[in-house]
Amino acid sequence: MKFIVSIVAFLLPIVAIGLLVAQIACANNLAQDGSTLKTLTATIETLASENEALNQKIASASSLLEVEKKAIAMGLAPGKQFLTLTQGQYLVAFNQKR
Amino acid sequence: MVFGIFILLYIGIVSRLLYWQVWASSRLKTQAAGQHFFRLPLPPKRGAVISSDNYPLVMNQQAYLLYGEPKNIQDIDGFAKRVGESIGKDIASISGALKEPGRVWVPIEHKVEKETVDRLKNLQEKGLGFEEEPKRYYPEASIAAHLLGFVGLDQNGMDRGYFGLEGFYDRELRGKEGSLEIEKDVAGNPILIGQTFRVEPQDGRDLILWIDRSVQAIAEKRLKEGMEKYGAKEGSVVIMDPKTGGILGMASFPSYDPRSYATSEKERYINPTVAGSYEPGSAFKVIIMGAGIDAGVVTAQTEMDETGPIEVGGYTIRTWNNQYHGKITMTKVLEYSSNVGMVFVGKKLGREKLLSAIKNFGFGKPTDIDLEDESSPTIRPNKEWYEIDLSTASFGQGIAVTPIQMVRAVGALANGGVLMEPKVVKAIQDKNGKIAPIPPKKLRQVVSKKTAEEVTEMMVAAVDNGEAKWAKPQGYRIAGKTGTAQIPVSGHYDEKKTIASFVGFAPADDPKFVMLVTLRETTSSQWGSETAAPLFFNIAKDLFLYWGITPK
Repeated sequence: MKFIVSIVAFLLPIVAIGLLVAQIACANNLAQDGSTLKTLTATIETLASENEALNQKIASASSLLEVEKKAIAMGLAPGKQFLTLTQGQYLVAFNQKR
Repeated sequence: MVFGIFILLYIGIVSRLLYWQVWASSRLKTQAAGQHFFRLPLPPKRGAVISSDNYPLVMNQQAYLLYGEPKNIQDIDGFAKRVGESIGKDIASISGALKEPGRVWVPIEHKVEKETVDRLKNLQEKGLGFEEEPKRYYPEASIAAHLLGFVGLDQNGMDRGYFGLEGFYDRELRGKEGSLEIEKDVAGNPILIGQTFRVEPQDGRDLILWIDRSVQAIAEKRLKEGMEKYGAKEGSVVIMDPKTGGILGMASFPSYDPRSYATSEKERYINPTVAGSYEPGSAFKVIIMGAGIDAGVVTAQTEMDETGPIEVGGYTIRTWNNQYHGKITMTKVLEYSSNVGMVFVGKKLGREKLLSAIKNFGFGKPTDIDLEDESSPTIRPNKEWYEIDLSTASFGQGIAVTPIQMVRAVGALANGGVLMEPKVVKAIQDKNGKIAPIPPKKLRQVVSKKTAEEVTEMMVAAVDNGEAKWAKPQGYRIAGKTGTAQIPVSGHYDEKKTIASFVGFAPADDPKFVMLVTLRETTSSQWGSETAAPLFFNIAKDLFLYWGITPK
């Protein structure tokens, strides 16, 4: 009996120390997870914000007003006369064998 | 006696508890929460408005709410001066608000743009905070302003849509407000280790429109040019897909800029294409002719004798140019735009059938288009229509309609006789990308398919041989009709003031669009054939090119 008590007395502090270390490790991991989560959330928010700003830039750059401005700057002008091809009016080259 | 007193006390206590626990419960809970927490509203992001070709017409721009925390500010006057100068706001009002006793959180300015916020962040002011508060951004500037409406503030200072789509679909677009509740101490300061509850806002849903950005731009550009050329005071263009009722383009001038709506006159906010009434004049003849053919009282070949002016109820009715052609068919009645010929059709129809046809085509009631500002002129009861009223109505005078009612009615002639419910929004998309389509709504068959085809041919003849034939693009079959209506002023018609219009659809055999052009008080000519019709054809030419519709 005395032998068993002494073994328990020997093992108990070891188990307690082991559990303490495990708890610290788990808490540390949790804290790290929390920190990682916070970083990820912040990254998501930053990316979402950048995405929104980029969407706005794309919308501005592809607006008809902007396209028209750039077309005029490039020397393009609205067409005055248009050529439409209807059936039986194909260009000669279209009928050539390839 | 003692027992009775105890019972009464017991009942009193139970009643009081019942009052606190049940009756006043929610009020007390709110009061208690107000003492323990202060609540910051988290505004949701408003949904975007996207054209059918997938370009945003309205979207959100990054902007921020600027707020101050007086307890963290050491020199309030200096703080107010630096911040006020950066955002261009009155320094005394900022300083005054921050100095008010008991304030822990003071909003300074709403919807400050990102560039300004970045500049303010560089100041590193203690006690200055920023909360995201997006504002509306219009990539295409003031395009489709009447259709889109604008976003202002409600009585609680929250975003709210007014007029047009912003007003009609406000609940869909605005989303659901979130909140941040922070536990506070007795002095009103936030408790560092206290509880915080954050309810994330639910962003609003996007609207996907029938409106095509290029069609809208064509309509606005051509309308502006046309108004200048013909010296019109006001003008509008409505372009609809007759098969679905989808509105492809809707323009009206004078308009306003939704980015600076507060600087415009309030009357400009209302969309005249859905809320402005006018007398359609001769353009209305196609509706009455359709009713006459459908009722079997006339056909395209029916002849009438146009010998001269006719007397109705003591009034003389003449043709627009006072020329008379003798025996003419109903097709010629439309080609010559004969008022006398239309009185013949109106009389053949009779009071009941004529009025019933007008109502059946949707006049007198709102079309239920999904725009906030729609209103409709009413049609007086049948017994109040005298012979002269019925006669003038048959050629489009003495009856008021809205442009959207007119374009929808002619759309029914274009699509085989079906009256559609006009719609601006094609689908609603949530933030997860799930799309809820809004299917086209057929209301009723107003004329038979055969009648619609017969009237279409008559309208094609009216374009090919009518007064506006000089402006028609060659090689296309376009069905249409001009209209010139005098404007009623103080109970009589002003001969010099007219509303010129042209309504039609093309290609006549398989219509891609039905369009109405109206011009008010033109100075170059009062006739629709010389103003509205060439403008219609100019827009039609651009649309043919855009959609790749070739001449035959």
